[in-house]
Amino acid sequence: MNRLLAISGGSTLIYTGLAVLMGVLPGIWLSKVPPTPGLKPLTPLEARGRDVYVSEGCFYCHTQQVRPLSGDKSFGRPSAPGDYAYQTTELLGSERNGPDLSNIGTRQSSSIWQFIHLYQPRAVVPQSIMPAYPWLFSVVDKLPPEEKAVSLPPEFAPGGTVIPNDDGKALVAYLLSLKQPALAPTQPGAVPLSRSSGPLGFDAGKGAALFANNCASCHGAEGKGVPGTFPPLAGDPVVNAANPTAHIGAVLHGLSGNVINGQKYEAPMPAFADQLSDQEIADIINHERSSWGNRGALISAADVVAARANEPLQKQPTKPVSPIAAPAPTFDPAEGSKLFAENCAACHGAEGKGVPGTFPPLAGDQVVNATDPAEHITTMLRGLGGKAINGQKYEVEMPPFADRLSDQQIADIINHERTSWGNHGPLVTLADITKLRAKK
Amino acid sequence: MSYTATAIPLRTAAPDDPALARVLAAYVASATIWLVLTTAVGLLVSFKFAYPDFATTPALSFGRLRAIHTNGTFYAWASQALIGLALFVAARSSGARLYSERLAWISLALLNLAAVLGTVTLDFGFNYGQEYREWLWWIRVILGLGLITAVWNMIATVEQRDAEDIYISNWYTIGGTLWTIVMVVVSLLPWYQFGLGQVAVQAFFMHNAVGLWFTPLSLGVSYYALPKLLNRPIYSYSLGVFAFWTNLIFYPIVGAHHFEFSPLPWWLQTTAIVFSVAMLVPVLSGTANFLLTFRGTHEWIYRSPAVFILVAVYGYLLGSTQGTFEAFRSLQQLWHLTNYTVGHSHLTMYGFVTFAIWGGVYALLPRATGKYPYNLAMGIHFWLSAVGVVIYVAALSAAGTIQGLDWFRGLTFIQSVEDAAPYWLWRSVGGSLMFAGHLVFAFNVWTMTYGRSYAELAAAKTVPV
Repeated sequence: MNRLLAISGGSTLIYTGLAVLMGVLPGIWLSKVPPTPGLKPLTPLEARGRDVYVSEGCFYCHTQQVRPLSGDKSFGRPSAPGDYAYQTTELLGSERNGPDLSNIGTRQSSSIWQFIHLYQPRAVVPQSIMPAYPWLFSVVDKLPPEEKAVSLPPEFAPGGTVIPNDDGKALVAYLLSLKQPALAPTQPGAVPLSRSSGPLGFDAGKGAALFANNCASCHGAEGKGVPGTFPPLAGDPVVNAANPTAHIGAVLHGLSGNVINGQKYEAPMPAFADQLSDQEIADIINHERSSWGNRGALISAADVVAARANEPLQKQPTKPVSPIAAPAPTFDPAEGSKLFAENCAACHGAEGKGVPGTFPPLAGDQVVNATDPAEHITTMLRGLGGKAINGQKYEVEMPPFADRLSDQQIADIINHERTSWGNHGPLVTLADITKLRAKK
Repeated sequence: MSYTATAIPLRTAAPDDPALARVLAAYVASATIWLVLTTAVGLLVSFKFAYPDFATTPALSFGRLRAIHTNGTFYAWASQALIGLALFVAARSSGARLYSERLAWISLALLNLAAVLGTVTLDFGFNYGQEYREWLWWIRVILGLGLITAVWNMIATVEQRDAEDIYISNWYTIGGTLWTIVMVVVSLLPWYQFGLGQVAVQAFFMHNAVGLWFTPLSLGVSYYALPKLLNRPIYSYSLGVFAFWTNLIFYPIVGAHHFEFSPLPWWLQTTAIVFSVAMLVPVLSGTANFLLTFRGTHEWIYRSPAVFILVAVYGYLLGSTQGTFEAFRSLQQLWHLTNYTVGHSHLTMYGFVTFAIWGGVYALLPRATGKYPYNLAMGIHFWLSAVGVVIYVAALSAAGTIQGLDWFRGLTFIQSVEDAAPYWLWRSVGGSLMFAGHLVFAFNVWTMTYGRSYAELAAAKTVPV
């Protein structure tokens, strides 16, 4: 037997086996993952846009994978396997010099913003280092009747009128198609979980992400725990109890040496009282109470507040403790400023100056400074389109934020706007938002 | 000439085989042209982080040039140089003539055809959309044919060897090329690459392309070049064989660590992490083997081209160990998707692979042509590239850590861009030094091939007896 054949042939045979095991078989298996319910296949225009995305190398700086990590929260819910069912070429990416785009169609739904940003990113985000893509546009002398001009700020506008070409339109259609469908509750008959289900509603995505970050390493992503070491949460009596006091207490203050279902657990559970906010703890607890077959009554952040103060909880799921009891309008300027930067500054500018003729300024705006905040709040909740402000008609539609931000977040943003750049509108309260949200 | 397995073949190295010399010189010269070209592209791309509105045309845009830089350095520079060196090592370590000079030219022509077509099509925006296999499928078929003809030549040459044993270098070079051919086929076939399935194949491919192509070829060439330069056998033949088999078995399994926290199955990610730790076995045995071969040479090693291999060994050790630690979820949580990864890939592909190639070229090309480079020019090349890559990797490691911490603290995304900006400028500084080093290397290749010979003097200086 030839030694050369043994080394080269033998090692190649081993390698081929491993290549099939680690490359081909996972490929075959995962190619069949069914699409997430609600996920739409790409239209021909969007598919062409994806080709432009690939050929311009967008995926070198933009990922399309939201991880179940705190740093990824602002990009959307954690990505699910089925999210990629229609994504061949897959574009998960390996590097983020720009933000994740998994949910960009929801996060920045204005095609006009997208066109300006592609033509010259620094026209809307001054600190951006993204390349400009003028070759996705053409400059014409006269606007063709069926076209819409890209309204650029004067310092970035070339001589003529800028309109997107076919590649540009396709790329924006693709970007706007990137929307994460909401994940349906996995348990048949489980309580539908969404913000619209009243004050008790909780964000299932947030709860799952917080659980993954803080709890899953011991209790397991499926709540099964590790036999004899970390107790399972699926089917646990405390998790399923109607009175959540023991459950909240365990998360707040930790546990050690407990006997659960006849099994003594030595590993101490850490206290989370100082690590997580009341809302986060409520989200985690609600995630645990509604997952893996559990059917515990849901709780609100107010319950956690009460438990922190050692007040007895009279848990009555039909009459929850209202989280909107706080009367005085207070707000956290840092939080408001951050939320504004994430959600509003791209169009209205970090200094509230807007983009002349395209995005209205907020500094000195009548609605922002009005004593009655109703119009300001409804604009945030429901969006706005085609309105003339100070004699200037704005074509760009402002997206509604009702489904994307909590009442507290909307209040923070509005209060930030009302106290910045020389504005002096009176502050709003959480209750104001809740009231107007309920009024259809 | 006979020898035992542990005392390896320090055959007399008179430039007595003009065909072999021609082949090696041509491969190295061609590779060097690609090195200068693709790192010039890399340097331009790095400046775009500070000046995004510089050169705003499709052909010079970031998204197209980045792929040209990575694919060009991988499949043109490093691959051509390593195949050229591997062919030379196959002949010399076997005491045989090259099986076919003609076949060697065909391989080089195919590799260059693929590289030219790949570069041009990428610049026109034809991109397959998967990192490290961006070239269109038919161009990757040409690349595969280049590898097949090359490995055929290596095997047929080793088949003519004058002893029963096959020198360890050939295990690595022939094995690595054969595995890479399998890898190219697996990554080409489309039938199991849809959606998440394509992610799984990409995870497998993108790490294998490094760990089962560049790693074994670089180690294989070093196993021959280092004993030549030090004039002593490699420390342990069996340790080399042990590292060969463990590298082969552990490496194909680690790919999914590129997609931690992604929707790929959790167990696949965990398996990858476990085998990333197992990779310490071949890495530490390989490193120990080389460092023990170096023992006692510290007084004069800095005047020998062997110092390039010394850097390569440390690059291998640091880069691979860093890779193992990066794979842990706790650290991946911080560093994944940041510029830290780019620093890591330059520590490995440059600090290890490229320095190993330079060690091999400085060791073997003069022995083939009889022409030696100027020691001063070799020293300038060494220091420019070594200092450059240290600045480069340090800057991007810092930038990546800051980006990761910013995300972790929930700052707005654009804040992480602003915070990384000064480090990107330092990256360009490091890159400029590296590129200047490449120009000096190109000059040295010219002196070792067509230029003025510096034979007697340099030979006496660089090869201590």
